[in-house]
Amino acid sequence: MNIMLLMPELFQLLMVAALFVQSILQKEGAAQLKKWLPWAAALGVIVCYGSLAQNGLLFSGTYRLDNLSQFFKMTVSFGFFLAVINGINQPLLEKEKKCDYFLFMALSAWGLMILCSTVELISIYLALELASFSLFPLVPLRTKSGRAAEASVKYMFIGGVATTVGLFGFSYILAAQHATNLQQLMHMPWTWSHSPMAVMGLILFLSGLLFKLAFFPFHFWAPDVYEGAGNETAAYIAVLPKVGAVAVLLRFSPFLKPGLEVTTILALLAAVSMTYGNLAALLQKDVKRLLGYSAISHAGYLMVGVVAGTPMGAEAAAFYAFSYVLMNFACFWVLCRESKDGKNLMLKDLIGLWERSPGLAFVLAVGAMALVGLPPTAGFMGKFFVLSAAWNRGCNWLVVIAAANVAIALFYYLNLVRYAYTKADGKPFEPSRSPTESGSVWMVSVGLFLAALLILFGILPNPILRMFS
Amino acid sequence: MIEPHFPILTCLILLPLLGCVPFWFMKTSRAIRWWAFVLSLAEMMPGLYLLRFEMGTADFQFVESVPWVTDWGLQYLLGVDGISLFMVALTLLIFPFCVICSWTSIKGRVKEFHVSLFILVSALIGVFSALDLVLFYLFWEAVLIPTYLLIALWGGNGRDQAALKFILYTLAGSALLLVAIIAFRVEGGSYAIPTLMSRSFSFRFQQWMFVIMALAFAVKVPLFPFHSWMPGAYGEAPVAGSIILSAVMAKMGAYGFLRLGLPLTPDAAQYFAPLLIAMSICSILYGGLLAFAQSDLKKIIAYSSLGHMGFVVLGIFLFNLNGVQGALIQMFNHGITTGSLFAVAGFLYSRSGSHNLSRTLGLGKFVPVFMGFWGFFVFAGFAFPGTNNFVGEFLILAGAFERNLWIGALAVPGALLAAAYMLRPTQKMAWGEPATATGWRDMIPREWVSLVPMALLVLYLGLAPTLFLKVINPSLKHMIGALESRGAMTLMVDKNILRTSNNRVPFDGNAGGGGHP
Amino acid sequence: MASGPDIINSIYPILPVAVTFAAPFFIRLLAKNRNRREAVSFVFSTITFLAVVFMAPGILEGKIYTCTLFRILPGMTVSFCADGLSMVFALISSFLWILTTSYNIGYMRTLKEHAQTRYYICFGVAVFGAQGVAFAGNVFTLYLFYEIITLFTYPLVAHYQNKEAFSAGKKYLVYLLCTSKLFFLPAMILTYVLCGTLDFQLGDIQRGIFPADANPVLLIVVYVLFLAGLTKTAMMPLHNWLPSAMVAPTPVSGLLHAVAVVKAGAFSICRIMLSVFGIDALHNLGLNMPTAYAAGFTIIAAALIALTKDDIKARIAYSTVSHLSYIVMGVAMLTPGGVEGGVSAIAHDAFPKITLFFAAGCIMVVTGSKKISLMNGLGRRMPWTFGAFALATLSFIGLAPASGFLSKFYLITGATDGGQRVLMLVILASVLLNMAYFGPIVIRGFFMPPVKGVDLSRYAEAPKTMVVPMFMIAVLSILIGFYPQTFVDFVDVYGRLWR
Repeated sequence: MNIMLLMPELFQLLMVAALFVQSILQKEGAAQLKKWLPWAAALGVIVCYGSLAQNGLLFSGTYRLDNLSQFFKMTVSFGFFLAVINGINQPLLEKEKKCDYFLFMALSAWGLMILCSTVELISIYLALELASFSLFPLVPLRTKSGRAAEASVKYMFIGGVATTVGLFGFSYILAAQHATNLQQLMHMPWTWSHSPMAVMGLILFLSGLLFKLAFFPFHFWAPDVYEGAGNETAAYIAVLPKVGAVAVLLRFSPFLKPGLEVTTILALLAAVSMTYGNLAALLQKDVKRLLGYSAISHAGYLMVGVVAGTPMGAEAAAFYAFSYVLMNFACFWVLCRESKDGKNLMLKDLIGLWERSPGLAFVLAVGAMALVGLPPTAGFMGKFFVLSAAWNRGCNWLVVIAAANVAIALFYYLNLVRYAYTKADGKPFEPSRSPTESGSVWMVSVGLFLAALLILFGILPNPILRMFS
Repeated sequence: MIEPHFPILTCLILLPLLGCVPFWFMKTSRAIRWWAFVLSLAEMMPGLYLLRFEMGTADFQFVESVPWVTDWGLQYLLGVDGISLFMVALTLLIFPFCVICSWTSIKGRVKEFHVSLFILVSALIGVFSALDLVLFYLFWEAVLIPTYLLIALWGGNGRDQAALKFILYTLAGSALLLVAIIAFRVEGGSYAIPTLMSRSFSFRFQQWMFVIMALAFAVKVPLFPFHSWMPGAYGEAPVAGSIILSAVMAKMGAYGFLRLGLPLTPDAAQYFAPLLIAMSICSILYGGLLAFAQSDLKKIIAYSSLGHMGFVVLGIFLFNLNGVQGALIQMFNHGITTGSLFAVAGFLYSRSGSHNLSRTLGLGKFVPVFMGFWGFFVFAGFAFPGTNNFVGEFLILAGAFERNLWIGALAVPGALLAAAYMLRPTQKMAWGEPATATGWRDMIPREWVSLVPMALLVLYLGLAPTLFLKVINPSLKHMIGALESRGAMTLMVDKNILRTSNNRVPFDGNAGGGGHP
Repeated sequence: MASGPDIINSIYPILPVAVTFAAPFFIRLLAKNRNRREAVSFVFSTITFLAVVFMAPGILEGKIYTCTLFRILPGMTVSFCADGLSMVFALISSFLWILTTSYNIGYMRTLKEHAQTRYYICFGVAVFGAQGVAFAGNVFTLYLFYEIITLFTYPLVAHYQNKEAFSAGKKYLVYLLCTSKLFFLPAMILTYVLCGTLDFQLGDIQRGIFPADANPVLLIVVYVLFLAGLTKTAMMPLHNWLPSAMVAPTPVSGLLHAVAVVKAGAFSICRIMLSVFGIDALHNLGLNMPTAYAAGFTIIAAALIALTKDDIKARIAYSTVSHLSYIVMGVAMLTPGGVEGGVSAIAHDAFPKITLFFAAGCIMVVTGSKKISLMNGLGRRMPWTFGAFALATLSFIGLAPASGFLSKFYLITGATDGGQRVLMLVILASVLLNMAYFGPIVIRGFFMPPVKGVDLSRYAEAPKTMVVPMFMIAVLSILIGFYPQTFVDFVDVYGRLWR
C-alpha cells in the first residue's frame, strides 16, 4: 500500500497529534499556536492539492480514493485553514483552552477527510461520528456564554438522535440487502415495491447524514447553534460538515435514479429546505442566525446537485461546495472582524461599516451576493451548474423552485449590504470623516483575497472544475 | 470561419473595468472626475473601430469566440449585428454624458460612484454584445448591484425604498430566466444564440420559454403592469443613474425581445403578440395619463419613459418592417431624448434644490437658454416632426396601421398625451408665477458641452436617419423574414382593409364613374 | 392638359424659407438695440418678398420648382415645391409681413409692451412657418411647418401673461395640438401606408396620389381626419379657439389670425383636397358636397354669431371664421370657378381682413376700448382709421372693384356652373350678413353722434407708424380689383384650368 495515497489524512493526523502534545504539555499554548498552526494548515492544503490525482481502493474496499474524494479532502483542508486563520485570535476563548479547541477542530476535519473517502456503510458511520463528536466540545467553548452551553446541549442531543436513527437505518439496510459496501449496494434494487425495508433503511441512514447537512427536516439545530456558538466556531460548523456530508451523499447519488421514491423524497425535501430556509431568514436580525437559516437553504441547493444523479451533477455539487466554503467564510470573516468582543453581531451593528472599513464592507457585499447567486460570483456559477445538471432528470419542478428561490433570498442577503452600505447612523453623509480602520491591513487583505477568489471563480470556474475531473 | 481580428468587443467591456484601477491612487474628487471623463471618452475610441461594420448583411460581426467552460457547454461568444450595434453605440454615447452630468451633483464617495458607473457600463456593453446565453445572463444580472448602489447611496430622499423595489422586482422577473436558458441548451444543444436561432422547438416548449423570457424583459422595460418599480427608481436615482436607467437599461428589455424573444421562440411570440400589444398600449396610455398628474419633474419624465417604451414594444410585436424599424430607432432616440431631459432636470436641480415643479418657475425670463434647451428636448420628446422621436413614432404607427387599424387608433392618443404632459409643465416652467429662478446662473460651458451633441443628434436623426436605417435593415429584414416563413400568422391581419375586394368598383383617373374593363 | 407639368429642380423655393429662418436669429442677436432689431424685421421681410416674387414669372409660365432638403424615410422627405397655389399664399404672407412690421412697431412702442424681442422672434418664426407651409412639397413638410406655426404662435397669444392670456393660450394650444396629433397625424400615416409616399401630385389636380384600388371607406376616413386635423381653418365645430385667441395683441390677431395662421389652415385644406386627393377621387367618393355644405353652415352660423358681438375684435374674429369657409366651400365645388374663387380668396380676403384688425388695433391704442356700442362718432376723430375700415368693408360686401368682389364673383360662377343653387344662396346670404355686421360700425363711426358719457375730444388719430401701413393695405385691397389677374393667374396655372 502506497503511503503517498494517504498523505492528506496523515498530515492532518500529524497536526492533530502535535496539537494534542501541545495541549498536554503547555498551559498557555496560545502564543505558540499562532506561530505554527496557520502555516501547518496551509501546508496541509498544499499537500491535498498535490494528492488530487491519487487513485486507489484501500482497506478491503472500504476506502476509495478518486477525484471526488481528493477534491473534497482538499476543500475540507482549505476550509480548515480558513477556520484556523479566522479563529486564531478569538476574543471569547480562554488561552488555556485554545489548544484543545484547535485539537478538536483538527480532529473533526480529519474525520471529515476520512468521510470523503469511505465507501462502506460502517466506515461512513464511524467517520461521521468522529467528525461530529469532535465538534461537540467546540460549541460550548465560548466564555461565560449561557447560550453557548444551551446551543451545545441542543447540538449534542439532536446529533445523538440523528446518529441513532442513522444506525437504525443501517441495520435495516444490512438486513435487507446483506451488504454494506456501496459498490455492491449500488447494483441492488431500491424501489419501494421490491424491498421496502431497504428503502426505509436508506432513508433513515441518510437522515443521519442530512443532519450534518442541516437539511430540512433535520435543521432545527442550525440557527440556534450558530447563534449560541462563538463566531469563529460557527464559521467552521456552518461550512465544513456540509462539505463532508455532500461528499458522502454524492457517493449515494448513483442510487438515486430518477423516479425512485428516495429520489423524490430527497428532491421534495430539497425544495422545502430551500424555501423554508429563505423565508425564515427574511425575519432574522442576528446575522449569525440569518446565516444559519441561509445554510439550510444552501443545503437544499446542494441536494439538487446530488439528486441529479449524474457525474455532471457530482461535479456541480463539488463546485458548489467549494464555492460555498469561500462564500460563507467571506461573510464570517467580516463578521468576526467586526465583532471585536466576540459577541453576536446584529444587523444594526453593521451600520456604517462602509465608513469604518470599506474593504470589509466590500468583502461582505461580495460574499452576500455570492450567497444569493448573482453573477459574476462563484455562487452564481455553482447554482448554474447545479441547476443545469438537474434539468431533465425527472424533477424539473425542483429546478424551477430553486431558480425562484434566488429571488426570495435576495432580500435578506441584500439586507447585509444595505446595513453595511446605505444605512447611515444618524449622521449625515460626510466625506470628510476619516474612516477608522476596523482591523489591520492584513485582515482586510485576506478578506479581499477571498472576495477576489469568489469573483475569479465566478468568471473562470475552470481551475476548480479541472481539479475535480 | 471566423478570421482572427482585434477583439474589439472585449476591449470595450474591459476598458471601464481596468479604468477603475487608477481610482485607487487618486485622492481628490477633481482628479477622479477628470479621469472618469477622460476614460469615458477613451472608451469611445474602440467604438470608432466598430464603424467598419459591414452594412448589407444580417450576420453577426466582430465575433469573438473563446471556449469558456467546455464541459458545460459555455462559450465566451461576443458579436454584434445591426440591432445590437446601435445599442452598444448608445451605451458608449451615454457614458461620458453621465459623467459630465454628475460633475457637481455627487458630493460624497465620488470614487465609489464612478467605479459603480464603470462596472455598470461594462456590464451593459456585455449584455448587448453577448451571443452565448449564459454570458448574456451573467451580464444581465451583473447590472443589478451597481444600479442598486447608485440609487441607494447617491439618490434622493426615498432612495432606500426605491432601490430595494428596483432590485427585488427586477430579480424576481429574471429569476426564472436561468431555467429557460438551461432548457434551451437541453433542447437545442447549445447555449450559442446563433446556433439556437437556426433550431426549431416544439410549440409548447416555445410557449413556456417565451413566457419566462417575456416576464424578465417586461419587468426590465418596464411594461404595464410590471412598472411600479420605475417611478421610484427613476425619480430617486441621482442624475447619472436616471439617465443610464432610462436611456440604456430600459432598452435591455426591448433588446431581449428582439434578440431572444422573437428569433428563438417565433411561434410563441406570434401567439402571445396580442397580449404584448395590449400591454404596450396600456403602458402608452397609462404612462401618459399618469405623467399628466405629476408635479415632480423627474417623475414626469419617468412616466413619459413608460409611454415611450410602450411604443417600442408595440413596434416590436407588430412583426412588420415598419414597426420593428420604428422600435429600434425609437430605442436609440428615446435614450438620447430622455437622457437629455433628465440631464436638464439635473442641472435645474443643482440650482433649485428640488425636483418639484413649484421650485422651477419663471425660467423663461431669467435663464432663457435653459428654457430653450428644455423646450427643444421637450419638442423632441413628444415627437415634433423633424426630431428623432418623430421618425420612430411615425414608423411604429405606420406599422400599427398596417397591422390593424384599431391598434393604430389606440396608440395615437398616446402621442397626443406625450405632447400634453410635456407642454403643461414646460409652460409653468417658462412663465409660471411666482418666479423662483431669480439669481440663477444660465448654462455654464460644461452644461453646453453635454447638451449640444445630444441636440445635434436629435436633429441629425430626425432629418437624416438613412444611415441608421441602412445599418439596421438587413438584420431586421432577416428577422421578419424568418418570422413570416413560419407559416400562417395567428394574429388578426387586416390586409384587406387597405385594398378593396374584387367586386368593389375601383376608381381611376380616367373614368368619371365606375371603370369597367 | 396636353403637356405634363414642367417640374424643375431648383433651390428657389427654399430661399424664402431660408431667409425667414435666419430672421429670428438676427433679431435675437440685435436685441439690445431696438431700432436695429426692428430693422432686421423690415429687411428680412423685404428680402423674403423679393425671393417669392422672383419665382413668379417662371411659375406663371407653368414651371414648378421643387427641391428636396432631407430624405428621412423612403417616401417621407422634407421637400419644397413652388407652384401656383404656393405663390398665392407666400406672396401675401411675405408682403403683409413688411407692412405689419411697421404696425407692430407703432403698437408695441406706444403701449410700451414687455418682452418685445420674444414677440418679434415669434412673429418671425410664425412667418417662417407660413412660408414653409406655402412651399411644402409633401404632407410631411406641410405638417412640420404647420406644427411650427402652432407652437411659436402660442407665446404671441399668451403675450400678456395674465390669467386670461394663459387660459386663451391653453385653449389655443389644446385645440390645435390635439386635433393635429389625433387627426392629422393618423391621416398622414394612413396616407403613407396606402400610398408609400407623401409627396403631392404636382401639376395635376385631377389625379391625386392614392392608388386606384384603395379601400374607399378608408379614404373617406382619411379625408375626414385631414379635415378635422386642420383646425386652423376654424371650421365648425372646431372653431372656438379663434375667438378666444383674440386676447392677443392686435397685430398678432391681424397677421397671424387673419392671414398666416388661419390661412395656413385653409391653404392646407386646399392642398390636401387638390394635390393629395385630387378632383377625381373627391368626386367618386362623393366627398365634395358634404364638405361644401359643412363649409356653408360655418359661413352662415359664424356670421350670425358675429352679429351678436359687441367687442369689435370678437366680431371680426367670427367674421374670419365665416370667411375662411368661403375657401373651403369654393374648392369643394370642384368647378373651375369654384376653385378659382376659393383659392384666390386666400389672397383677396387677406388684405381687407388685416385692415379690419389693424383698424381695431388703432382704435384700441387710441381709446383703450373695444366696444362697438361706444364708438359712435369716433370716425370723425379718426378719419383714416374708419376710412380704412370702410374700404375693407366694401370688400366683404362684394362691391366692385374691391378685391372681395372678385372672389365672390368667381364663387358664384362656380356655384352656378355646378348647379349648386343652395351654395349660391349661401354666398348671397353671407354677403348680406357681412353688410349687417360691418356696416353699422362704419355708420356709427361717421354718422352718429357720440354716446352719452363718452368724451371724444381727447382722441386723435393713431400714430403714423400704424395708420400708414393700414391705409396702404386698404387701398391695395381696392386696387387689386383693378388687376384681377394678379392672383387668379396663379390659380389657373396651378390647376391647369381652362379659361
